[in-house]
Amino acid sequence: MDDLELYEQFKDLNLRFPKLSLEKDGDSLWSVRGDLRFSATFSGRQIDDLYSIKITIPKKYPDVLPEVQEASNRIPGDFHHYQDDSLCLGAPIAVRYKFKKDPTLAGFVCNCLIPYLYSFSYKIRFGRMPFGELSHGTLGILEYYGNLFDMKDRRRIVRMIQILAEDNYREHDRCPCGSGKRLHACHGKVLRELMTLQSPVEFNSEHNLIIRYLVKTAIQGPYSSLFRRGR
Amino acid sequence: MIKIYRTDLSFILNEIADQLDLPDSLHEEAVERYQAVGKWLGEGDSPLIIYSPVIYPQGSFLLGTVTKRWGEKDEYDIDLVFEINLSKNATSQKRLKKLVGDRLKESEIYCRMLDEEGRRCWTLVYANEAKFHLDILPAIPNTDFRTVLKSQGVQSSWADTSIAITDKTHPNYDRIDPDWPRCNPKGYAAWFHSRMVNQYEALRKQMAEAMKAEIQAVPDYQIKTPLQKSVQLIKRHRDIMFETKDDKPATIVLTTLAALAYNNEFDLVQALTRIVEGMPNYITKKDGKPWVQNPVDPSENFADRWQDRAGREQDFWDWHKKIKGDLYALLECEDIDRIYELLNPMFGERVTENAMKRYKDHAQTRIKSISTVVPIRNPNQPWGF
Ligand SMILES: [Zn+2]
Repeated sequence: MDDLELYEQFKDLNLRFPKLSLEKDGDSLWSVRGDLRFSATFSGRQIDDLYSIKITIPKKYPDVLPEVQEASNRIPGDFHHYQDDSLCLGAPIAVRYKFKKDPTLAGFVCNCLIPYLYSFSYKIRFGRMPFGELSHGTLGILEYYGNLFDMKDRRRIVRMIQILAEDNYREHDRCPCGSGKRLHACHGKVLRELMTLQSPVEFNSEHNLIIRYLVKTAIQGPYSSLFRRGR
Repeated sequence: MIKIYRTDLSFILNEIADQLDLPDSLHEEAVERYQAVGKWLGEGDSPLIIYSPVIYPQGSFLLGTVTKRWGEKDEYDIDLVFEINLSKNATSQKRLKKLVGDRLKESEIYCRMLDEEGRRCWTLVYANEAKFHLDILPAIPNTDFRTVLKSQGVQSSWADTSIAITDKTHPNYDRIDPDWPRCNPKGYAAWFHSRMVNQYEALRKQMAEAMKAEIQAVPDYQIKTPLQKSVQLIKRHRDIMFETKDDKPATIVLTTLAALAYNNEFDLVQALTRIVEGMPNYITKKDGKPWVQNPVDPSENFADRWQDRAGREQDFWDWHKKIKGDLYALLECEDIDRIYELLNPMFGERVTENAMKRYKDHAQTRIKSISTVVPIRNPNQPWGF
């Protein structure tokens, strides 16, 4: 994205969050910094809060998502962080899915970042997570796909991801969810959306992680055959 | 380090600059007017036709920095060059000036519009509409001087447009002599453009995309870079500060210093801050005198008139101190009503009021579409390794 397009997006963001600035030091990446003061509601409960943040805009933005760091050190390291200290706003595919709905800086802040900050503020105030949380690691990703597909059977979820990993979507194939319907009449829409978010190679590495996880946690049997595919 | 943080102020200043600018419709009208004058002067039964004459804009009209006159009515100065292919060996300045003036007087319309003869120009005043003052500068090619410029290191595309002009107060005004007053409006404009070309091209691309048109389809005059807007703001600020004085810092000095200080900023607040802070760095000294070099004619000092009257140099510094202070006060001010009070004396009530109104409308529609309280719908659940 060229500087002027980024600037246009920043202007919209700045209109709503006037304490943020767009910065760049020499040849470094652009970043959005400052105090993010927001009011947000979920299920009728409003939270007003303020966090000092730094959003780093990657060179390949918006194809690659920004990374967020919290500068005020209110959020402890054991609350959903990546190893590099940036905030883990959700399973990677989940954040992309959300961002895609409004792929702008304001969209990113309102749809991806503020819900995360809201849930931390909420947890501090009320002692629980307002919209739950995913398990850490691979299980969390599996849970995300389960929620997205509204499915519980892990074996069927894996088969669904396999379609994406093998880049093998055929709308007349039967949907792996077990409904008995054809893909186009069932989970086809969400699969097609997912296909626009990451490459088959990326789905494949998630697929492999999930299978390795399932094997490691000793759920053998039906999955061993999947594992042997050796992709 | 680039830090963009006052996009609200940028929006308002952009609007003010727009208000000061020549509206698109008037731009087209101005072009029609001057082309008509050019036609009368150089086509049909004009005796000047044998000298292959051309008319072209110069000054702020060519630079895209036209600034509405400070006053009741919306008035604009359009500066033109009328260049004919005569040699310095073949005519005196006086004869050239008279050739052009006589032809204008032959026209019933232009004769009535013609103002008192100026030092260098003929001025046509469009009285009825009270909008344009067309200043016509008679000129001939300054052929021998073009070689001099190139030997001084001026790039040839800039040097090759140097012209010789007339000046009633020049010692050689009424005799044939190789020494003429000179200038180079096209070369200067090319230099000015080179100072902003990156932003110009980026904006042009952006506008073409917005219009869903080819890049070439975007008219030059519709593209306004932060440099051009900064120059408009600076000129207006000066006009107001010196409104009761006979004399004020020269536009060419302000424009040159601004273009030198500009460093490709795409945000107007950034650009204006950079320019205001940087302008003094480009005033050098030569033989103990302040020197603002003409970038397309190294031996010309735009600040030479500072020697003519004692207060002139001080006027510039007083103005510079004032605009710097005004700008810093603006940057620190976050209260929108207070911003209005600060802008008002800087740029005038009418333009400020209109700009503030535009800003409020813009902010309202933009913010309304997404309410100030962020409603969280289908949030992602936090995750981690
Ligand atoms: Zn299904």
